[in-house]
Amino acid sequence: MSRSRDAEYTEYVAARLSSLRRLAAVLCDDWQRADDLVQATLVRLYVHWGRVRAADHADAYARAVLVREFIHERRSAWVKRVSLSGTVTDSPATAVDHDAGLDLRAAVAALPARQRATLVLRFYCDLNVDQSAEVLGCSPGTVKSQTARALDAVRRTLAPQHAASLRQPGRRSGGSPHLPGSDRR
Amino acid sequence: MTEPQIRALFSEIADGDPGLSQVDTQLAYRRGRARLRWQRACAAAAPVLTAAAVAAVALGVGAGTARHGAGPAAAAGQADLKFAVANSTGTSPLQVREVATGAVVAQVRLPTEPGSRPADRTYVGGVATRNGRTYVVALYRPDPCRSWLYQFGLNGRGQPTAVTPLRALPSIAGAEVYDLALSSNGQALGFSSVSSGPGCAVRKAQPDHIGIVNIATGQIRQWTVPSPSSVNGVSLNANGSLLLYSSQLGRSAVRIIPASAPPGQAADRGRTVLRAAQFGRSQWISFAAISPDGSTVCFSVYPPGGGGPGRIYVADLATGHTRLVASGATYPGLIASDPAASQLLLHMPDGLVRLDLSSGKLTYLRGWKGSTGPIISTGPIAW
Repeated sequence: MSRSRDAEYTEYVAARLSSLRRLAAVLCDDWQRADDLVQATLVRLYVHWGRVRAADHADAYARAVLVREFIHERRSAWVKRVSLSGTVTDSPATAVDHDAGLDLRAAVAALPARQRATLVLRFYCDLNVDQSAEVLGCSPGTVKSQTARALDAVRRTLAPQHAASLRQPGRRSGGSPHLPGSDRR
Repeated sequence: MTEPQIRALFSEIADGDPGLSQVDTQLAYRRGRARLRWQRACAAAAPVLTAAAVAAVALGVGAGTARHGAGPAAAAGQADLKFAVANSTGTSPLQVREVATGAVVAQVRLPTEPGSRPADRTYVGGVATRNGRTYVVALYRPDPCRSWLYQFGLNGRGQPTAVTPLRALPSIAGAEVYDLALSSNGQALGFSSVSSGPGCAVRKAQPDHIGIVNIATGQIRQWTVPSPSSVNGVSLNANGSLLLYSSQLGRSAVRIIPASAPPGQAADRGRTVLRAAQFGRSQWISFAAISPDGSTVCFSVYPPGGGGPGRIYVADLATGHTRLVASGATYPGLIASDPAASQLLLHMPDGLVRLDLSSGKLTYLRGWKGSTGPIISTGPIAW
């Protein structure tokens, strides 16, 4: 690869790195895995830089590479060997209903890779059905069915917990905040 | 209804970038994985691999894995404190709650003192543990002023053993005991006590104290602190040779006293290692704890009255260097840390939170929303 192509590639990656990492993180729900995914994507982009340059929309090309790499990786035997944790990964603290957020996160994390990728493309990247189908390399009908199944799966996962929380009698709002030293005398 | 929530979830994940320089908590495996991936790419594109690798690493991609090497310590640490003993009412009973879920698995009923009247209620001053299995709890009665210390254990399912008086120091007359800390070798119990409460100092003002009890011999060594005391936390290093305490109000500061120091004024015996004023005007310190080897102190600073987000620091006592670990914590209180020195368990007004010291990430635990209560067990403190 010539020096100019290297410079071009480096410039592109420098500009798009942040957005690629964010997309990868939404797909993986894990920033460390996301970095691995982005790394693999960048290698592919480098190897096929000529195609990236020739593409009408380099970002769409890079996004498609990243999403397909994600799906491919999740289908491989390797991911089963290196999946060290069955739990939902850390989330930053925010002043919201943490239990509900954790439940939703776990429900989405449990989706098959292709369904999760479909949701990410539709609801994070804001792609329409046709655009999503192009990225995933499938028909628009498949995108619609994958979206519907994913949403249905999430709702079904959340439903029993929601019902259970409604059944709990006399649930307290909890104790007062502890300001150290404030409860003395 | 689900779609907007999923959009919000994805945005939240995308906004939670810990940065490229964070230490990965998972992995020797992942380094191998990254290496394999590069090798696969190498087979397909050997001529360009070197250039691509240079480009990727220079940009920071993969730095997360390249810098890894912490091993599984953090992951193991998450499971170290299985149960927390909480108290939301200030009186008996205590609740044994599962840290991971917040579920109450048992209650610990504390003794009623012989001959006491219903009006002579006792209150829970503090609860401490050194390993999540053996606990010490302090009860006090304001009028007439007196404290009692008890011990109990928890089995693997969180079920308590019988509550028995602490042999080394079953009771303290004329003082209300609040803060407790056990050294990780189980030989020393640190405490702070107040003797200036309404039932304690009937005739004249009494000094407040901080002290250390030798669990084996029952010997007490204590030092006086100005009354009314605002000591809001004590901790001990691993062998109980150093007692660290923090004061919350006024000139909020963190001080250390050697256990061997002779009795007297605490101000004359120890040294001040931190002052809240170093971190801005009118700042308070909500917790401070010393590491097992006595080399570092973890502490939090926040604006008065909890009127803003707090910051958590780790200070190196030898060099004086202070490192900001996390911000955005709302007057946190320290509960425990894992022995691998990677995570802290904190309580905040809106729940129980795990703090990853390497990334500074605060993670709320399920089931604890708004229910940590005013008193919760502390320890094992180690990082």
